[in-house]
Amino acid sequence: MRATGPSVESTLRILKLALHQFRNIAELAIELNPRFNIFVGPNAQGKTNILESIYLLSSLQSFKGSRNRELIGWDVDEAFVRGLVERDHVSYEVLITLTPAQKRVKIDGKSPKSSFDVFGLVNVVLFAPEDLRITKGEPDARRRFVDRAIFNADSGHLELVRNYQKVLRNRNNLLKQSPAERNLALLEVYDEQLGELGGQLMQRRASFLEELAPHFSRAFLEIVGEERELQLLYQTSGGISTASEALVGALVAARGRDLRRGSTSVGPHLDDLELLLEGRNTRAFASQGQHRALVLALKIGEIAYLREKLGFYPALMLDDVSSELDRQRNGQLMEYLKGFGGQVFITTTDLVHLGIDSDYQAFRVDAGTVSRTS
Amino acid sequence: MQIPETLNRLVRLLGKLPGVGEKTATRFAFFLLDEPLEFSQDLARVLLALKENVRLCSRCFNLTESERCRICDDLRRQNGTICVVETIPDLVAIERTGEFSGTYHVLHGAISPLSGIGPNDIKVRELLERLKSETVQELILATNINVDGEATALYLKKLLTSIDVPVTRIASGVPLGGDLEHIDKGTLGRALANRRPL
Repeated sequence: MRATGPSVESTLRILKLALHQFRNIAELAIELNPRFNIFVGPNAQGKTNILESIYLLSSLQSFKGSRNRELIGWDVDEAFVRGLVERDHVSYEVLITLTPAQKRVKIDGKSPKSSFDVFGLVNVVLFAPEDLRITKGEPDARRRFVDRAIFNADSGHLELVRNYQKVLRNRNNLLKQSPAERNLALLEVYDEQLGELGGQLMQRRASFLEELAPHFSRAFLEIVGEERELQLLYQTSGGISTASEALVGALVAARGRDLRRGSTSVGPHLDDLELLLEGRNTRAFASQGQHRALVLALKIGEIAYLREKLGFYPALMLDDVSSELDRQRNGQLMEYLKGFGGQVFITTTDLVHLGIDSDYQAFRVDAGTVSRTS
Repeated sequence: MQIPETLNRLVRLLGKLPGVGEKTATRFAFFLLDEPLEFSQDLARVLLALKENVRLCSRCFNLTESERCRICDDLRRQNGTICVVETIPDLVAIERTGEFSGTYHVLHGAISPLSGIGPNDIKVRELLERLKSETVQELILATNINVDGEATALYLKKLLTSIDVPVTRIASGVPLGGDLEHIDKGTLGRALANRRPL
């Protein structure tokens, strides 16, 4: 519950992090700086693994999509990630134990009732070199960005996405059946169910994008330093409205084609997000520098959106981003970070590049061992 | 470890039980070895009787040791109301409430094409037969409130449009004693959407 009365700025801080047999890190126990935490070292030493462990506290998933086995050190069968998290002035100890077969979570020593009690405890935004795919790559990268941002503010979104995907797979399964075993009444049921869930999903995405748009434009303006006309367009598949009835109608209309293809050709699993700069589609026309600015603006926009929703800044993780950004954008990013009130985790090969000179703790990462510098 | 072949076989059989690994199976086997002979005789008899005597009720597919289950045989139950559930544990849960005095129909599963379960793999046809031969005033669909349970309920509703029988769906929403502030959004949203006049 939000406190009333004299307001104390609410925050999210990861105070301590401990790892055991997590990827190449055999043991780690560090206290973290409330502002900047910088992990320095050559490539392939384990810097990103630390970010991955923090991401795991947030979503129970690896941002690399790795299986448990890959997260657990060689020759052992168990790993853990333990974080002491302070959120809204209350601290929680989150412990994730990984075995090849499962992830077990305890919060303050107790098993949570559902994973939804875990989600939403630690809100992090990750910015990694691969994120340039959001503006340059296939639509699925943009859908993932949108769904992940919504989930960050409302963990219930995950259940909706999962239910939608399950019903989608059910429908596809029916479409692949031979005409002899096909049950058209059942197909109608899945049209309705997929339409209902798909409508909810499209409406959530549309309202998120509406809220994100002003934050995104403002961030982009600050980055490029001049007023440019920027539009964020939500493209539903087939250009249908976001109403459930519209999707049900489109599914019914697409049935013949879907039966031939054996898959569902309309619905939010095919949505896209179009970014228009001065009316032109950035995916095709933007320069490399503009792509970087756009992705950076999307991430900063997401942070502003989350701050509005959560009442505090999410933690921000920057994975080797300096190497991806040119000198100018890098300077702008660091400028932004100085005004950013949240906790930041940065990996870099070279501390000097960053230009962060106060409120920070640097850690040297060398072949899986982590030590404080200075 | 060198253990007698019979013990070894028992461990392997017990190890097939759900939730039982080799360690637990070994513990069970040694426990049985230590117990008096009567215990094993009892256990063996019950196991055989289970397979020989327990079967599905010919009408509602609940478990029974005769042709029909106790609920179907109970003259006080109202035959005109049928509550459709996915599994026998679901039936037991509803029985425990003491709120329901009709009869049941156990589907033995929910439709899930993904898992290879279609309408013909659960007791849907049997339900339709039953509706033709019995006089039914209400059919309550108490399949689970998840995507498969919902799909199954929607499918049954669709099949039943040709048969003139009122169909209802169990309500879902705020649990008893549930503080609104602690209820997940999906549940609360649904409870609001399905509100009723007071």
